Amino acid sequence: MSRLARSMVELTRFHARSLHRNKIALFFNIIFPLLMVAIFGGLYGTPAASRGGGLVDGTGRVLTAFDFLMPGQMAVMVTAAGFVTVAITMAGQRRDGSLRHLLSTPLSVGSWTAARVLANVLMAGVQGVLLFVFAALLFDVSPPANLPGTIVVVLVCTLASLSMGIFVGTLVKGEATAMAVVMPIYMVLIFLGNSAMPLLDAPRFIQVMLPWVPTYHMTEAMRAVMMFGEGLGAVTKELAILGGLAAGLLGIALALMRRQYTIR
Amino acid sequence: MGEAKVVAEGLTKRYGDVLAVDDVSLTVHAEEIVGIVGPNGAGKTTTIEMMEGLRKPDAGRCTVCGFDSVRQNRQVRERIGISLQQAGLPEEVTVLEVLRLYASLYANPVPVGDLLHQFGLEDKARTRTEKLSGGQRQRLVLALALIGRPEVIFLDEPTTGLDPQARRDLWDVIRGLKREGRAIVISTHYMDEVEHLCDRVLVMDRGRILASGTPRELMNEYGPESVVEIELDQRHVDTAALSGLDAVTGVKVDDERILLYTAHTARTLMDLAAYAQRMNLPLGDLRTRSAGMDDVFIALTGRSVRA
Repeated sequence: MSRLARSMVELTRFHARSLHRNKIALFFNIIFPLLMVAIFGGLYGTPAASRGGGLVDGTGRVLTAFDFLMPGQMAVMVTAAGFVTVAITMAGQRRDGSLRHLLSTPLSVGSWTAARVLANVLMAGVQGVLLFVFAALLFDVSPPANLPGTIVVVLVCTLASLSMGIFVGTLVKGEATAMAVVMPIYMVLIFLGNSAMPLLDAPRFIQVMLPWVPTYHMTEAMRAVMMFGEGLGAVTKELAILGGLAAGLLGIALALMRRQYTIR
Repeated sequence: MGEAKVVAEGLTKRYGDVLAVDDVSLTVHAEEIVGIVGPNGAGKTTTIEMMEGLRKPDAGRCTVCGFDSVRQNRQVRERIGISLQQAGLPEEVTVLEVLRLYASLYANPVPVGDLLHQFGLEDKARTRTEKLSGGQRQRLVLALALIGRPEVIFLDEPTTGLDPQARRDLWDVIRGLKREGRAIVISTHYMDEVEHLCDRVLVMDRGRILASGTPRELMNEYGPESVVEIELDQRHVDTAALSGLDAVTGVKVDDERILLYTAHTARTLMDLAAYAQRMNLPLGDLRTRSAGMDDVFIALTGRSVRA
């Protein structure tokens, strides 16, 4: 195996450990969303049983509770892993000097980031499989209607949440500070992301904010592709917004990291 | 003496109005341990970071193994091992995992098993880094610094916070690295570390090199012949009178102890005893010792290294 391949494998494993070894991270990345599925699924029963609850989207499509729950909790999962866990882990590694130590070796900021992306993409795959297996076993939820499209959408959502995590991680030092910054934002992302409750009938001041909330676009795109089997062409706008966010924030974060960790 | 591995010329660094490092030059050879000593804020870490290629000098340059620390930074990083002052280790990973991670970053790493054996960490291989003792952490940091088979090793205050036994264990490891032919730069504020470990020493204060040489040369040049230490109530201290005692070359009040630097211990002791009797002073905990690097530092800067 080449040196680059070896380092990518080890770095990805290293990053991945931060996503599941920390008990708090494990709770937010996997257990909490599955609990939400169990609780809300328990309230509504199966998708068939929850149909006809009066939920209709903007296109007149009748929605079940699971059309909200599954994309919503998938968005919660990738946001917890990409935004919350990465920001807190990175801020901790900046405070204790371990990130600086690692980047004082021949490792480049670009390789570090690439491995971070890979680890979170793998994690998103595990999260998605767990989510659907769990929901299928408990509530007879069907697998994603458009699996290849779902993979692409989840990938873009992962990149968007990860870019937010790395961006915050480059700005703050220490887990406590990072927690104080990311948790309020995370709460807003969950509640305004259409992931905890349908916001179709929310007051106007909330409706106005929704286009500015990344998780809102995540759940919209995932619902269309994952639950209704639509093609990627139907979610171009959402993918463009999330992709643009990912490219912009990652670009800024990489520039900041290069300033912080290469010779200055 | 082996070939020159680190050649620093006129390194200068300024942070705002503060001149952190002022025209520091230094050469380090293979099979040599060079110590940089000085109190906190002396400029040791900034000097080392400029040599490592982690910080860009405002003036001057440094080559490591023939490569420029700034322009050929990548080549320099391939050839050096670093122990940062804040010995940061990632958490929630085991010793084995962090060694494997670092090994993957180099072209020809030392086998991880060999390092575990060399640093006595075999039984800790599956222990998470946050559960290691201070000494074990430092040994792991040293192992990480060595994993890429570096020709030059930079150790920034590697024994700070360790108990005396752990410090001595680490000294043995560092001496072993020197015997393997590596050039080692170590910063410390422990003067005994300098005396026991370093072939050459740079004494730094306020960004400048005050003196350099072997520990023996510095002690001969700047240290008094010996020191008489006494515990004396500060209210009874008359430094002028103590300075006038036979053979005394200097007086230093250090916390509750008085240090009399003397050219002739016996004559000073006799005169001190007579003076104490005349003044009815109790002489508590009287000790004599040879001058050490601590005394060199005090002679050069007028203050203790930990001040």
